[in-house]
Amino acid sequence: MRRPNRRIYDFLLLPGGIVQLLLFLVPIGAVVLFSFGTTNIVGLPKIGFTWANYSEALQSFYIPVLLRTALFAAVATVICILLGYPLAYYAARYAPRLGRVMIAATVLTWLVDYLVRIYAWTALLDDNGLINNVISDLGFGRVQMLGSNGAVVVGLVYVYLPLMVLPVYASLTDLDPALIEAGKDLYGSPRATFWHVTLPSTRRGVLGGVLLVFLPALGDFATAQFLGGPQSAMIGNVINDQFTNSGSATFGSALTVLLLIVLLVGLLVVGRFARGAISGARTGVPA
Amino acid sequence: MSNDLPFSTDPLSRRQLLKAGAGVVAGGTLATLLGASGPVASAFASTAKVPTPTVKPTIDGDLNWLTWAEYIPPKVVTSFEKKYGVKVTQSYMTDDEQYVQKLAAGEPFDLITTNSAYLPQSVGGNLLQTFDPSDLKNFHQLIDFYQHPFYDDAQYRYTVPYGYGPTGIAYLSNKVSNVSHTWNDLFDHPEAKGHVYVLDQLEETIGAALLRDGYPLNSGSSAQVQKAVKSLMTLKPDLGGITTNVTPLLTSGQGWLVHAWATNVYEAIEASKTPEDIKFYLPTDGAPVAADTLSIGKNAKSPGTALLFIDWVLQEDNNYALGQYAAQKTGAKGGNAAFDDLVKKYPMFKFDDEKVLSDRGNWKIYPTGSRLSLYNQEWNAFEA
Repeated sequence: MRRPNRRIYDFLLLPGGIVQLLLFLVPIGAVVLFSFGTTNIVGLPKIGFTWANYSEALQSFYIPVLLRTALFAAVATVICILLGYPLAYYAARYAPRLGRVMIAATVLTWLVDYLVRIYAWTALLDDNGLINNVISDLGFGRVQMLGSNGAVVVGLVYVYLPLMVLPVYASLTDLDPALIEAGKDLYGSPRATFWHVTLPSTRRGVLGGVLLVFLPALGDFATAQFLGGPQSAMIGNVINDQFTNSGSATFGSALTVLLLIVLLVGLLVVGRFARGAISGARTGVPA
Repeated sequence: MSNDLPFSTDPLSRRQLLKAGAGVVAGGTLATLLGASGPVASAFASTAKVPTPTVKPTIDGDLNWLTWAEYIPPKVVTSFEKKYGVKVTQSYMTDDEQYVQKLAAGEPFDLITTNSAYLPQSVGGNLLQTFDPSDLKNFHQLIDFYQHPFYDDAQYRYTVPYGYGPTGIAYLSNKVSNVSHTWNDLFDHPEAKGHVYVLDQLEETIGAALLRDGYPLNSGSSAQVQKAVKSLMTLKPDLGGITTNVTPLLTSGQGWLVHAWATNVYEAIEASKTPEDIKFYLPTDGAPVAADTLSIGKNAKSPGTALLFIDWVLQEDNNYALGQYAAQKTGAKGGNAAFDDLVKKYPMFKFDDEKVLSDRGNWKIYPTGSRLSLYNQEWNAFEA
């Protein structure tokens, strides 16, 4: 068989490569550069070399914020799995037509602007909002929800759930039904078949969902800004403040670089785990 | 602390500061008043020798205006468009820092709703151009204070006032009682736990805590600022949030004790189903103030139209409509009269210009340089 000229592939990579370079690597490079600089009177970065931004970023009071951010993102990710997997499973296995509608309904929320959706949650959760009115009408007292850590997690789950559902749904629809039949033929109960056949075969989708939910949730700031309270600040809020309110883009850049490092390390760890899990699923040997 | 702080680093009580201020002749700069040095000071001081303007009030193109959303009566804009045959395009910002950043990035806005607290940055960063006030037919409409505001008092100007009002405290009278009318109220009402809100602006909230502790609003002393933020830390468990989105907090009943700008409280009262419950006062230990102003951008493509529009806004009937629409004083006769008419219904919004404006200790100055680093670090610790 004649192999296509490799140059054609190289050429096809060029437009995407240029876009990546301009829209991703150059801004990241600028952020790294600014993180070692100082600011002028109007808050614009001045190129230079100082560790001051990093030494400030490593102040102890940022550690609780980082831990809180990781906790919010992790809890939101787990809840997204618990909610998203059954939804995707039901849609893929038992109700193809209705399932597609359900998936579409979940994804449709993304057509509405992010801030509008979060604002809608403030109206639902505030002391005189819809949820509290219902609770109150049922005879229970009003509960202060807005401004709590729980409200932030609810917001994160709401925002990122579609990013969990879609890859899980895709992996479930790719799953060969004969595998499940084989599990049953081997006298596996539905539960045993799910745990030993379906779930391992869809780990790739779940891990994809975990990455798609956890990583952006780590960098989120609007959810905590609108739904959270003074004890709910995420690292994204601190970074956002440096660029928008504090005229301190260089310090914000240093925080961004540190967050990127944390994200990259997380990505490597999850990637390593994913490789093991997927190869385990392929060979049938638990990872 | 380095010596480029715009204000004295020595602990100086508010009373001492005001006493110092009394010795300064009228028309002196804020920098002089505060014994300042460094970039902020020089920015104000430089107003004494500002560049000679090149702009004249004449139509030279459509107007591109960077401002706040819903901050001008539509009829004032449409009548200008109709009279001069130009189009006015408004772009909206969500905080003052944005206009500084946009202008610093070279964006060619003709007209900008600037703020007196940011004038040192704007002038120091060469973001604005001057105009000759004698070119404005309606300049005489300004009240005495704004004919020569201390922050922009040279022969040529960078600003005319657009709207102003002090920061104070709003509360729901059905939830909170026995207010002392001082900043300490924010700290001393356990019944409002979880429903106390402070503004998400470091100079406002640190400023309020400084005033509560008896320090100058714009202190550059690290000891004073650290003590003020320490006080704020004690307030944190009682806070419902840190936000500038004050109006819905009051209308929804979520905020019981809220650090707020008067104009937002007025908005909340107008929108509330129970307006009688919403109260507002200016703390007796200091009412921080800054003026929204109109300025012409350095890279303006239609500076003449911008200056003509500034004059248009000062015109008495237009200014009255502005004061009525924005529910705040404008610094000109029309708008101030409109505000006086509005607050007949709500006397709590009334404030004495003489008392608030002439006390320079009340005027907010956004920090720059080392003072900004100090405020940022303390603010980040508070928010974290």
